[in-house]
Amino acid sequence: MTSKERVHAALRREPVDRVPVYMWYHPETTQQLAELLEIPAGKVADAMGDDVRQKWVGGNYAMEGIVHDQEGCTHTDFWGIEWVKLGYFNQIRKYPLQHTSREEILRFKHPYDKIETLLQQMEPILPLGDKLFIGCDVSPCAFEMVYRLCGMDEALMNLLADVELSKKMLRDASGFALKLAEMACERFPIDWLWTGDDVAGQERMMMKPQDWCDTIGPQLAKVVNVGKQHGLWVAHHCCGATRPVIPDLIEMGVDVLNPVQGNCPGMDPFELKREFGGELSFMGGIDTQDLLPNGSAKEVRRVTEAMLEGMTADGGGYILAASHTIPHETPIDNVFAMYEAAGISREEIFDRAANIRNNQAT
Amino acid sequence: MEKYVELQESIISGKKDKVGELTQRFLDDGRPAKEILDEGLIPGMAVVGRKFQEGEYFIPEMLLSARALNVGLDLLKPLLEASDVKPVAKVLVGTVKGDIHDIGKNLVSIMLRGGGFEVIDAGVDVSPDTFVQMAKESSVDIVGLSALLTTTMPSMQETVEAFKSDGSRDKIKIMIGGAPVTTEYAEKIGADGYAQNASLAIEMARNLAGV
Ligand code: B12
Repeated sequence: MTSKERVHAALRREPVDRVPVYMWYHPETTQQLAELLEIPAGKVADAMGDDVRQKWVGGNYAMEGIVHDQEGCTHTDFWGIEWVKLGYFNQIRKYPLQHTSREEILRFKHPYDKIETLLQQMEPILPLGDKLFIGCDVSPCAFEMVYRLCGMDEALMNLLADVELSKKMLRDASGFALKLAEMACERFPIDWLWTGDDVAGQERMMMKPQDWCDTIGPQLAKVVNVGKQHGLWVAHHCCGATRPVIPDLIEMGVDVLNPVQGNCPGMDPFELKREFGGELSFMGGIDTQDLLPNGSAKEVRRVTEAMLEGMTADGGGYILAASHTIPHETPIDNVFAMYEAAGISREEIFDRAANIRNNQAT
Repeated sequence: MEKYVELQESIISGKKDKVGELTQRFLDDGRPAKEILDEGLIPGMAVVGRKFQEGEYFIPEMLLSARALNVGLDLLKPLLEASDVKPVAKVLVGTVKGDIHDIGKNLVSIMLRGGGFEVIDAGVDVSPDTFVQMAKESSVDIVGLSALLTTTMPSMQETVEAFKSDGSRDKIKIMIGGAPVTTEYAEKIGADGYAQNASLAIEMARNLAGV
């Protein structure tokens, strides 16, 4: 089975040779694996046997796609958001619409003239699409983009204090994501459209679920719909305790939910599977807040095995992944333990790494 | 007191203009700033905290109430200082080195301010040394550390250690919080307390301040 066939089959609940895997690593974790496997960082996913390749074509590119080599380096993205490298990621230093006037906010235009440039991020992975499952990430899709423009406090307060402005900003933000999604779906032979919009914390959603339904949900739905119209799977990323809006996500057409933080209230993966598994697939669930950094390899293996069994009880609908990027304090053996549980042995990984080295030498 | 009900309700519903107007009116009527604070603003914020704890309020409601509170506090502050009214305690809060998550830390600050504490915000990505330095400069009673990443939790321990090597550990209490943080972790690194959310944080701060 190719990776592509495997992921499609899993999402259709058809038999697979092994559960598909799509792991996200902290850059430092990638580096550790690269050193251990003696391959370039860019080849780690190949060696590990991950089934999905994906690129950001939306605003996330500015956060993680642009890699400065020096701490404190800055850049301004197409939206006028100023980023600064802090540790391994770029963080926002200046929100272009924070503390500005309502008029200025109303005048703001998303960078439609940069869509071509953004879409070009997909080029390097497109040739891999005969074997691998290819995704295009247009996140952040609604609220999170508004937050990047005017800061978290204003983005949240406007949801109640200036609903009209809030709705307009959300509409504009999702309008841009929608355009990206449309062009990506029309132009590229992708397998899923990846959407995302972080609106929940560890204990509960950031805003009242009803307020999300009234303001954010309908905008997000338009972006999801683009993927559905093109006959694609649609995945959605939202961290934390998102349970209250899962039925809404399903209704708008989301097929895959990520990252499933099982230790948040209402997010027990098995419970979610029981309740929503008929309509929804899951990607994630292996805890990065305690199990992966603090647990033993044996525990990780046991938990992962139980996860695979429980989450594929109906014959599929699960992609193995951690509940976010694997933090670099995670012992490398714990990473291998997850793969082993999925039937990808350490030997197999090292063999693939050796092949990668040989191919590069010739 | 009956006459402060409207002020309390304006805090609860986050009406900043109304809070400003009412606070000013009480001051014009000759009410002491301390009374307006203790009977208007603080009880209003206590209800806000309770509603958050009970799941009725979410972050936007909290932020609106905080904004309204600040309008009131700004009017009262010079008068409180002039009449030498002391805050419940002084708290330094910040997100630890390498971590920029600040929504939770900000909510904790809001609740503390609303509880009559003076809060000094050290911001995000704060190094252990900066915490020690700022704590000294402002002679705070409590230091609140926030971390949202397992990767940055060790910086909490380093901050506790920095206070020790500075010799000022016993002058302050340290409380910690953030998504991956637990009571066990607080015990392990020798912090004085942990709170799971902003409403519990204020109870913890009261305990630590001995009020
Ligand atoms: C919003 C968010 C972001 C925003 C932050 C915006 C901002 N201005 O804060 C952005 C996009 C920048 C971000 C970045 C990253 N994030 Co983030 N983020 C979140 C998210 C979704 C919500 C956090 C939040 O604001 N919650 C709402 C507030 C109100 O809750 P809270 O912070 O928990 O605070 C409450 C309590 O904890 C407590 N509390 C908090 N502080 C304190 C302090 C004291 C003294 C006390 C007593 C109490 C207390 O009271 C608060 C109020 O009740 C969480 C998901 C989650 N499960 O928490 C991930 C999460 C924290 N992020 C995560 C990750 C991995 C990252 C990144 C590394 C991602 C990346 N780039 O690939 C970066 C790291 C950036 C950095 N160096 O800090 C992971 C961490 C996992 C781990 N192993 O620890 C999480 C858990 C998501 C996940 N699925 O696993 N993130």
